[in-house]
Amino acid sequence: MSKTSRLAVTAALALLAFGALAGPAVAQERDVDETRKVDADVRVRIENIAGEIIVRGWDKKEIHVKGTLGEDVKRLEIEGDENSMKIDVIYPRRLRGHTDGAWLEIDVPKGADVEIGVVSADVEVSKLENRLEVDSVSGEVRVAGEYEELYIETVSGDIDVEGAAKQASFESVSGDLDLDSLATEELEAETVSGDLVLEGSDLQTIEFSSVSGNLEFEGTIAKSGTFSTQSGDIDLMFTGDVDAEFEIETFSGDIDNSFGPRPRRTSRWTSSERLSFTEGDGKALIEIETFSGSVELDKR
Amino acid sequence: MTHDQAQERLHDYVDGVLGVAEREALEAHLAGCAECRRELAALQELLVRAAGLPDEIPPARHLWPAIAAAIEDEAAARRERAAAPAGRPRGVLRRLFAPGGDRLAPALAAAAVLALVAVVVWRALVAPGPGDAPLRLAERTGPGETPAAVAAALATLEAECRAGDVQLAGLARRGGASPCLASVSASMGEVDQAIATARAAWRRHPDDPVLARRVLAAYKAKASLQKQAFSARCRV
Amino acid sequence: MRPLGTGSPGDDGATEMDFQERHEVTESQQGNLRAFEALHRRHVGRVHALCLRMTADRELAETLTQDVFVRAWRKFDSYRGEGPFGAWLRRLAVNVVIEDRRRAARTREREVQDPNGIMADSGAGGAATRAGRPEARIDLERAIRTLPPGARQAFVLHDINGYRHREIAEMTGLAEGTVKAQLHRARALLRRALEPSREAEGS
Repeated sequence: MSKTSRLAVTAALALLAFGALAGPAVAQERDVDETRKVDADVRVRIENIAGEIIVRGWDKKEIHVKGTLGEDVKRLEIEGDENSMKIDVIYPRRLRGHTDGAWLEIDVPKGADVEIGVVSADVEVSKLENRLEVDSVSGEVRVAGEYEELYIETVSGDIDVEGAAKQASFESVSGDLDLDSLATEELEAETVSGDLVLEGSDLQTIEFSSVSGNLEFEGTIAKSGTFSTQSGDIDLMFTGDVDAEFEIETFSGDIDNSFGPRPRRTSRWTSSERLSFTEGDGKALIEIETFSGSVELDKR
Repeated sequence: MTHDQAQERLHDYVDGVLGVAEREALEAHLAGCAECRRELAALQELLVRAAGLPDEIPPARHLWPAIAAAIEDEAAARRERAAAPAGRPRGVLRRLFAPGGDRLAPALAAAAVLALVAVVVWRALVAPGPGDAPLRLAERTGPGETPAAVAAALATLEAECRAGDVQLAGLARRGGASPCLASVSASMGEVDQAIATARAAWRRHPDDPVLARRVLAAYKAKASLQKQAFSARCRV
Repeated sequence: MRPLGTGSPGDDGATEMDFQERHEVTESQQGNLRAFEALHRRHVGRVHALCLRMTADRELAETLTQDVFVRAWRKFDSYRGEGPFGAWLRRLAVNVVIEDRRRAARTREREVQDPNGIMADSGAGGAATRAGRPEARIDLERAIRTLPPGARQAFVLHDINGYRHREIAEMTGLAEGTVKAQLHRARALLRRALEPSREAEGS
């Protein structure tokens, strides 16, 4: 065999071997860029496992999906009609181990009713005005906007919210909730060990319950606040005039009250303490029950 | 096989439910009977056309609103019967209004309503009309809530949690540990600890309604956590 | 010549559920009404088709379709994941229709016994979703509507929805022999009703 042909054969064999080693063709990353016409109050459902989902409200009666699908992603499904759309990132049935997932930026009408379900994808939502529901496992959730209804659930991802909501409900196992400058009529939050931090909040009613998560609150409560933990600490810092009736009970935690009145022991045999007092006309009702957490009441 | 017999058996023949002997007899008859062959062809054509009919016929109007309304009405009726004061259940409580009650053995289905009583009563977020004073926690689990009722509510929550534990163990065995399940399991330990602590204290001070609420709350947290584990999203 | 059907599975070949549908089912079981709405969207066409063909009454079919979903929500626990959700749902639909028939047996005057003619169109409702010769489709749908109720029920359940004789007997409470007889009668009537048009097509 001549030298060149030997080279050619070797090269061919090498390519063949390489092909065999490389196995079946791998999927590539793909870009997406799609637009659909929709109603101003379209219902949008978005599902993704991993990666990132960014949703922004705009004035157009259109949905625009732009982004990249990772290698593992089978395809992106965008289905529905003007009043109901589903954007679904489809993965193979058996996902082996880690997947990069899909990164999508989705513009929707700001009056849309949006529901987002993810596992580890991070979620960022802004400029929406209607109803938003986010269901995450470990992805971080960051939300801004002024909502009629806001529901966010997570297992271990953290939740960050800035804005307002008529009704807001948060659930977390260990993810922390950071609610900034939030104005709501009804706020409900439940965690197992996640902390809740509320800064600059003007609330009508709030209900918080946790096993070991701590609560740090700064703001005003107009109608009622109900706080209940097993071992989580409760720290309420009231701004502005306080017009509320307070009822506080702990089993073995301490109560530190800068409004003046001191707690009294309720039993000779246990360290349980009870504190009841009224500020102003007692318009709002603040109830705190904790087992071993400490309670601190402050005013600024 | 006679001609009349053959005619009768054509149907079973196209349906594939004729016995071997009869089938052979029919086929023998068909070989020599044009009329039966025509009948058979017509029958087969009918069935082909029937199979070709659309699978779906969308209703002329939107049916969902009425369905949702009926479901909400039923849920509202159930809640009223559970005699819970005030409060539309939201958030986590949505989960507890699972269709048909809980997912466990039928024996616990009715008991789930009791669990709801305890839960709704102590957690009901007050959304009263303008000018109403909010209900206190103590009143919500007040004189109407006898120790017996609390104990009953507790028993059903406990049972629900026990069954949930079994289900979770099965899940872990079958599916291995997704990151979500691992997370939930880690928190489960903490919740179990809280339950144990609260129960211990309550056992020592059984008349303390605050402690009773604590125990219920701890179990409720556990039930809620278990439900998270069972969601499809947690298996990935 | 070979027999046509070989007794297809009694769930009209409902397909296996994909990840999305399984998620919707799980969420619905936990009380997520919006997930249930998604399930509704997914299945309402088939449920309605079954109700409509069995009752031959558009308004009643819509009412019963609603009842099916409300009952499905109420009885969700009895769906334990054996087989596709669609199959379970359609079984439920059959039961709802049959119960309604029993309840209204005496007062129902809506059936039209019209084995030869084609009665006034009360609408097959909405656009059908499979392509085919439109005239042939309408003829057959209309003809089915003119069948007497027992025969119509047997035909819809067996030849359109794929249930077996024994399953239909269980669901309707009739003897298997009766089901067969009704089925054969339906087929005979339909063939006669369709013959004029067949001749018109020059077959």
